[in-house]
Amino acid sequence: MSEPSDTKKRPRNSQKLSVPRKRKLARAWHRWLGLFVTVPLLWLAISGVALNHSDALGLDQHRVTATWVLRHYHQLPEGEPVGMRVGERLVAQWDGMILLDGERLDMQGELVGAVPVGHQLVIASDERLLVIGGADEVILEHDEISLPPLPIAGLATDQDGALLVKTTQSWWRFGRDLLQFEKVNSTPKSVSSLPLGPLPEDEKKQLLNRLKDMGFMPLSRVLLDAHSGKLFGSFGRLLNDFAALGIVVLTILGLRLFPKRREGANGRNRTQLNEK
Amino acid sequence: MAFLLFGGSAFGAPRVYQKPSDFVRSSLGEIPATQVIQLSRAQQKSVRAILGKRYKSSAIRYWQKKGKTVFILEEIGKTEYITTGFAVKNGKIDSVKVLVYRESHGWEVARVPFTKQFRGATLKSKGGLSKQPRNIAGATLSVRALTKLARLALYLESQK
Repeated sequence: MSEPSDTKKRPRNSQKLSVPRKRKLARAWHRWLGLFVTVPLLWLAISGVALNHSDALGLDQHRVTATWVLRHYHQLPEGEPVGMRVGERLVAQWDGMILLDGERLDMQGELVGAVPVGHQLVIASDERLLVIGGADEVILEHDEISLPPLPIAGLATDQDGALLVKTTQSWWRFGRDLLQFEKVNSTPKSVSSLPLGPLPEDEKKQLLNRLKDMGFMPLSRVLLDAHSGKLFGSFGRLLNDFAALGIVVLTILGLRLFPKRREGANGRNRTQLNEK
Repeated sequence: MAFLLFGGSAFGAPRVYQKPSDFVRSSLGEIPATQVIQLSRAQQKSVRAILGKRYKSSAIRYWQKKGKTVFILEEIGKTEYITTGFAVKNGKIDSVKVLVYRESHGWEVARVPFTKQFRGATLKSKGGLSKQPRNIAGATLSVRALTKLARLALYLESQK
């Protein structure tokens, strides 16, 4: 049966969308939105699964070394390094980090100095003191509990090779075990200490390259921030929002398209019939 | 290099719950002379079995008075060190306190309801704890770190 002629003559603008036309529109939106959301959605799914199994995948152990990533996380130092040479070793501080031959030490505070004591190297900040052995092994770590009253203001050795620590109050002489100490009542007569100063340009460059090579950022952290979009700034967040809202719209459109189309005569559906 | 160690967090200030010296003072009444356990090769091996790696220093400090020993130990949770105080008496943990927490997540391990689970824990023959603390969702690595340190404190107490 043909449709009534008045329906055909109705002006197009005032015409309500027919069901098949709505389906067609929904399908078109579903298709194109799906295409645009595919890449961020796949990224979210894959990175999310990886983060859920970061232990098993060893993501904490892997370190990201890309310069832009390290700069993003402020892992490359700014400002000018200061340091000193203790024999072959370079002890330096740069942007808060205390470094031994470019390796970061677990040491807080401001670098005060470093001196060799026997076969060991003693490095002090104003609040900690590390004793480092021949194989670059931290033998002993002192903090406020096992040091003279802080802050440490200087480090030296006396004529017998004993460690001297200067605080704001006095000089303190450590025993051979580098554990017990006693107050030195007068200023030690013969003190050997090394000067702390700005590093030459070539040493600064070498140190920077070493820090880049070390790469402080664990992959799990970078992946988490990439997953949430934070790594890419406001663009990343917007892209994530787009993907999330896209999924909501796709779900709604998908539900609209879900009901089975009614079949017309000879197996053709109603849309096809209407299009004719 | 044997010591690739990482300092303070770049992503927020550390939470200092108590100064280590205050923990020693509150546990022992005063700060006795510092003593150290210089780890032998065999002891290093046992420590490695507990932590899954070597401890950050080969000599570990402790303070002792009237049979009670205090250790201030540090272990990495996820990427930063957690500084924890352990008071041990007669082979049992007497008290545990997280002193400095540097991680961005998982600070719940510093709460008393969590740390008090360690009280009375002893070291079993296979090196495990007699009392296993409950896990905290989102702080699994910190819970593991504290559990390892509790085992280490009990092991060190037996090695003095």
